[in-house]
Amino acid sequence: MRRQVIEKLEILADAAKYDASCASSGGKRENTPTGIGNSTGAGICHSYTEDGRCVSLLKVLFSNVCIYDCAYCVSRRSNDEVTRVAFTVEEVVELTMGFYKRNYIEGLFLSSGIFKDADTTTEKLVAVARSLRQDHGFNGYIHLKVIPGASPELLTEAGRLADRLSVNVEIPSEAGLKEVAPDKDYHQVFGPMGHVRDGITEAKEERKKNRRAPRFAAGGQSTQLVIGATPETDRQILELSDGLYSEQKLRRVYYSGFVPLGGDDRVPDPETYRAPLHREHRLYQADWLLRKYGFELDEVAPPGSGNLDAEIDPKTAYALRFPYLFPVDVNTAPLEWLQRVPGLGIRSAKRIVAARRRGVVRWDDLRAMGVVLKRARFFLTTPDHRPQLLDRSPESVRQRIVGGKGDGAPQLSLFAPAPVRLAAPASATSPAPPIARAA
Amino acid sequence: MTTSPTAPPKPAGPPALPVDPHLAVETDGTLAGLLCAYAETYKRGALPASVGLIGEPASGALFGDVVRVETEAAIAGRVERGLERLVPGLVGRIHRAILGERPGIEVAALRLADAVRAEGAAAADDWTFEPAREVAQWSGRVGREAHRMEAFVRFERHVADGAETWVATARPEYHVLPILHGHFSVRYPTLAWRIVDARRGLALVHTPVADRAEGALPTRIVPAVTLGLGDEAPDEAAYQRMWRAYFQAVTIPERRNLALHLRHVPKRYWPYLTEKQPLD
Repeated sequence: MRRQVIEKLEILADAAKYDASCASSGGKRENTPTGIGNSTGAGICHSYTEDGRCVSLLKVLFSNVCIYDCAYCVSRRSNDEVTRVAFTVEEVVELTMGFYKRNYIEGLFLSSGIFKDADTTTEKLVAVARSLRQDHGFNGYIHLKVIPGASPELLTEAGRLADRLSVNVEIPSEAGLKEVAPDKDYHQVFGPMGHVRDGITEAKEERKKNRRAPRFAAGGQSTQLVIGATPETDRQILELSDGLYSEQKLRRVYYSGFVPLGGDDRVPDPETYRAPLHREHRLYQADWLLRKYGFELDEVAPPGSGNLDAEIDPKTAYALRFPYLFPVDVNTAPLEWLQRVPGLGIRSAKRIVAARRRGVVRWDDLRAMGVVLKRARFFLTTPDHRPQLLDRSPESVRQRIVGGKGDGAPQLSLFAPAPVRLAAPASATSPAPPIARAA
Repeated sequence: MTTSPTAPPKPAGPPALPVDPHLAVETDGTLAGLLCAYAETYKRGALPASVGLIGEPASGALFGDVVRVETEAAIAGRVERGLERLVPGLVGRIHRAILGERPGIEVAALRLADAVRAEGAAAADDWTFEPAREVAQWSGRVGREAHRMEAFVRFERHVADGAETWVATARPEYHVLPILHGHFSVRYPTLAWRIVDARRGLALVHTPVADRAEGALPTRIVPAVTLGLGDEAPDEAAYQRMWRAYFQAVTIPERRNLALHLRHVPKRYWPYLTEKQPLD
């Protein structure tokens, strides 16, 4: 029996690996004295694949038998190259428990090919989660994939059992989706996504009134967009993400550079096409600016801008598009502005704010605080560092950043360092952010 | 807007103590010992230039005075409450920092504690103040190593006299066993597990609540040599094989990026990672 399970595991893990989500965070499930597992913290990556992706969950398909024929998917109906197999509920449960007790994983991410219809498939996924929770006292992380078209009752039960639910949009435009996945449309995707969103909102409301009310997918909802299988630009993709965050209240959008599998001429040919890993990376950076740094979509990717700059990160690109907003004085600028400086992260910006409560922050302090001076030096000032940004064209700054040799040393200046002006009001040296945000 | 240069913070107490270059103290090496050392030096009106271990000779002749600090739970508790009231989380930060076993870090911790007492909470997060930065950086390093242990420790199931024990071995860079118990005790309360630190010859041993004496702590740290091992459980090899098979299957060859992989999983962890053992 083991032999058979290991073969299924290889096939069904291989088929699930193109799903980028690995998060095990955001759960709020505490363990019980006799239970096993919890998912309360920030999530743990228990290993990393040789391509550098986090391995946090046992990520498998329940079955790779599928009635759909999506060109980007290895399990598509018309692909004769794969062996079709399916786990039993007990097999997935046993694997999850055995792996979890050995500290290999944070939990389970279960998806499936649609082997009969949406409800039959979803019923199996729910049965696995139910057995883990009820028969085994499992309080680790469970992420279930929602099968488009599943009934609201099943979705509700799935949401009670799971920490996260996800419906993959996959293709960033409906026209593109129709091209490569003739059986799917956006209605099928956004229907269940809306249902899950409402479930999450309702459960949160209920729990405000009654602390014992059941949770519903407390880790939130996520989705994935496949990059490069269809011709959408980065601006179009980010527009979609922005809408998913604001309207569907998604916790995360994942971007998955399309890896061509061959044998289907509706998508790019592996002979001539390379997976757009670099583009994927820039999209993630832009996504962080939208979610965590208070940037607006148009600031990160102006309307009609096509793809993001491949050579520089989106924050540096933003700074070079608006050179008159810089440099920023680290000793007076508000936190929201420090976070907009290329080379400064949320953490180093907070460190600066904490340090200047007691004194003046100087150039040498910045390095210790984790600031990436190679980029930041053009965009910030300290009493002993005053870049002459206005004399430089954005293009020359760009060249210097891309050229990449800079060690971050202060520019030699003909002038003595300007006197320290501690009492300068913040507004005198740093312009207000163009889009004011509640702090 | 949350920030603009603010007025100098109100001093929280008498001014910061000077460091006496001739003063050395000795403690038992624990966090409680260090907190007691702070109480002792505060009484004397000067901070020490060195903190050593009781019984281990300090770098001798430099120091006129070597003060031996007895650890008293009541005193340590009082110092801890005082610091926590000023800066919640500071004692945990100091604890992690000293587990880095870095010479001189205790002195930095005492200077930090004293600055917080004298100048207020803002000193703790001021990275331009060297003791605050050193403690924060070492706390970060040790915390990261502990987090990696939470991720990379691999339990193997052993059976002796019908009872199962889950055994993991690791070689942490820093002495992280004292800060791992919480995570694993909450996660596996019903399992008898232990984590062996092969570098230091110590083991963190957990006893499930059902097997514990009234009032006994869930975990203790003991010399690893005192522990018997039992036999590997019959299904252990199969699970390890399945995990290796899984790990192979989830790699996307077209995306292979070994530099990134090594940044996440440095080679020093490989000897104890199940997925890094040869396929069979």
